Amino acid sequence: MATHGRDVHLKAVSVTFGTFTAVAPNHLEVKAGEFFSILGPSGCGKTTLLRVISGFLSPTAGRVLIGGTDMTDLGPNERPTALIFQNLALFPLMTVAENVAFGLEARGVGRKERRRRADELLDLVALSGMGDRMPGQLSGGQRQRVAVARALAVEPAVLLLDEPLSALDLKLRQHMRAELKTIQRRTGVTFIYITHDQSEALAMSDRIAVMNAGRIEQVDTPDRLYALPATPFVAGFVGEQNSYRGRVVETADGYAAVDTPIGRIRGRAAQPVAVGAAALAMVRPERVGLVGDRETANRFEAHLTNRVLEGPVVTHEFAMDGGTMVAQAPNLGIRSHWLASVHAIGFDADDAVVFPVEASDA
Amino acid sequence: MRKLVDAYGAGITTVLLLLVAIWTLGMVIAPQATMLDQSLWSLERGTADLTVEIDRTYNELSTAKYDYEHSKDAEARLALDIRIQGLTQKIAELELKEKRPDKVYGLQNYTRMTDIHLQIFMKTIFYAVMVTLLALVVCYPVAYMAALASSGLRATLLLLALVIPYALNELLRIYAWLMILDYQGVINGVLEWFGVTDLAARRWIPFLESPAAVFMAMVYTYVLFMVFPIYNTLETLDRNQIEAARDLGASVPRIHARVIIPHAKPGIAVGCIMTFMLSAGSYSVPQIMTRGQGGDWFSQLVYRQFFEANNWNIGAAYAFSLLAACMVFVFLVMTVFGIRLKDIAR
Ligand SMILES: Nc1ncnc2c1ncn2[C@@H]1O[C@H](COP(=O)(O)OP(=O)(O)OP(=O)(O)O)[C@@H](O)[C@H]1O
Ligand SMILES: [Mg+2]
Repeated sequence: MATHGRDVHLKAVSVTFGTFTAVAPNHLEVKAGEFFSILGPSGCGKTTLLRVISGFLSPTAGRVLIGGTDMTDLGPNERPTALIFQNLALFPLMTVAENVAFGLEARGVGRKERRRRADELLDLVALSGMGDRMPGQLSGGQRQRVAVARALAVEPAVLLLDEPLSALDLKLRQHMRAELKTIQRRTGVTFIYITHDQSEALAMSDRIAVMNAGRIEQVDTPDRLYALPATPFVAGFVGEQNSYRGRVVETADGYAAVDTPIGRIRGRAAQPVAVGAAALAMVRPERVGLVGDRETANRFEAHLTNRVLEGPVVTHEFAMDGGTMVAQAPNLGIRSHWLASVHAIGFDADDAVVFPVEASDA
Repeated sequence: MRKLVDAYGAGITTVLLLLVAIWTLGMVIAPQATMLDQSLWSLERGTADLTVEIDRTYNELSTAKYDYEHSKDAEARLALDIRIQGLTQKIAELELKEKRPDKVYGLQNYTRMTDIHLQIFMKTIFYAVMVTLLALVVCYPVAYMAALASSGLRATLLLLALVIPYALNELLRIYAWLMILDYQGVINGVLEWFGVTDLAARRWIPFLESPAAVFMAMVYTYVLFMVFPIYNTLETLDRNQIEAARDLGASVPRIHARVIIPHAKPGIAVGCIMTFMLSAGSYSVPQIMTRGQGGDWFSQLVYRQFFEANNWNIGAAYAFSLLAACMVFVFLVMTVFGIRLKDIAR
């Protein structure tokens, strides 16, 4: 398979339906051959953005460049993109092989050659020998793979996937994640993958764009996105967190101290904050640990109020003066030190993030 | 059965089944059986031979009476008397036979169709096929636009525009066409402006005399029966499939041929079957459009057999021939479209 991914460049793209802004002006650069995810809650404009890239929807403003060429005014059939629909949209009255070869049929490829290519692609997606079945006779995961094969048949430079796994059960979803990732690596096609499932995005992507209400809030690698969210929304959407509102009392070298109901929290400032400004301090449950006598930037005395065993991890809920805090730790079995009822818990300044917030939000 | 009982309970199920049984028996089987029976016999009335025989017997009788009156021989008179009584009885029997003809069963009603009637029959089937094709050509794009190509509001308006004329009486609907196509109708009136026709001089284009007039009116009268089945199936088509086909580079004709029409097939088949049946059996449209003068449509012929020639046997046979033709058509359509009854019921 000699296809090569191309880059996608959105310049100030926005979409409005009547007076409703579905996609605010956004810049986005997806590199060639990248597995790029767009993550956001339902209704935030992901599908709309994808339709703009695939050419089904003209942006109200802005330009779409694919492989450096301005394709804003080209139709979906003229772009080197292929779209996998949220509901797959397989052709139910055609066999699997006919489905896969449909794009080739449209390009006038002969019957024999079509069949050969279809079988090749079905091999690629691990559906060898299923070419003569009807889509209705396949399982959800198999249909999923047919959709991928059908899209790859036209050798797109960019594959656009609209929550393709949302209809599958958890086990199958995890399996398909790995498989999509493998296919992406093998073909070298740029994948733009839409999902509202943060764990899916974190697991598969080279980079992730987090969208909120039509706006892209942050574009980063999964690791950085998780560790250094740029906005409270990103922090809240990606992963769990303890968060506390307060007022900034001190700033230094990209760090800030915030006075909150549970006490002073020191953390990294995600954006520059001013002393006296309203702020939100956030820490991930798995960054909170038992500190014992150790010196840490953030330290609290707390009662253990609840302990939930989730298998490999244990979630501990603590109560303290002015609030609560959740801590997650690996399950150490009966050697666990967490079984006592009063603890000193805490975390480093690098494990907490401080965001400025609108005073009215506070 | 079990499901019915589960869904409606035993009481309602019984009532439902009874109603269905009564309906099938009373409205379908019984009348059809009667008609079939009617079509299979004819009354063989007195033939010329019978009349001659009666005449001859009358002659014999008067000869015998004459002999009787002029004979003196008692023995001869007795013999003649017996003969006279025998002849009188024979005449009565023959006359009864002449008055009450024999009921003869057979296929004669079907085979005795005259050439002209056969021609009309063939023409009707041909025209009905043409009406069906024309309606299909007109209706597919309309149904497509209403179901898939336009926004909700426009689709509603389009369908309303289609349905409203159907709120009118069928007669009025056809009459509208009559007014348009008549000798002194709208089209001829407009053409007069351009000097093509001259109504005062009775120089007009006789649209009504061409089969096209019946055609137009019939297509118009029955389009809805074509539009709605197609519209209904098209509406269930996932628009994403069309977009997927487009995304994969398919041209518009290919999208129709490979994605939309295959999906709409059951609807198209139902539409074709309904339109064909309705137009093949249409009585009012040709009757009104040709003002009862043309004997152009077979159903008019059937009507005349029943109510003018008062020959119910021939009428029934004709009606059944039409029915058989329709059945063949239905079968053909289903074979051509490769669908089964199950798909249509979908
Ligand atoms: N054709 C349209 N006309 C008007 N509003 C629309 C149209 N299409 C989408 N919207 C609106 O734009 C917003 C974004 O829709 P979009 O389908 O992009 O969401 P999404 O992020 O894909 O959501 P989901 O995860 O549920 O699929 C929604 O509020 C939706 O109601
Ligand atoms: Mg969506």
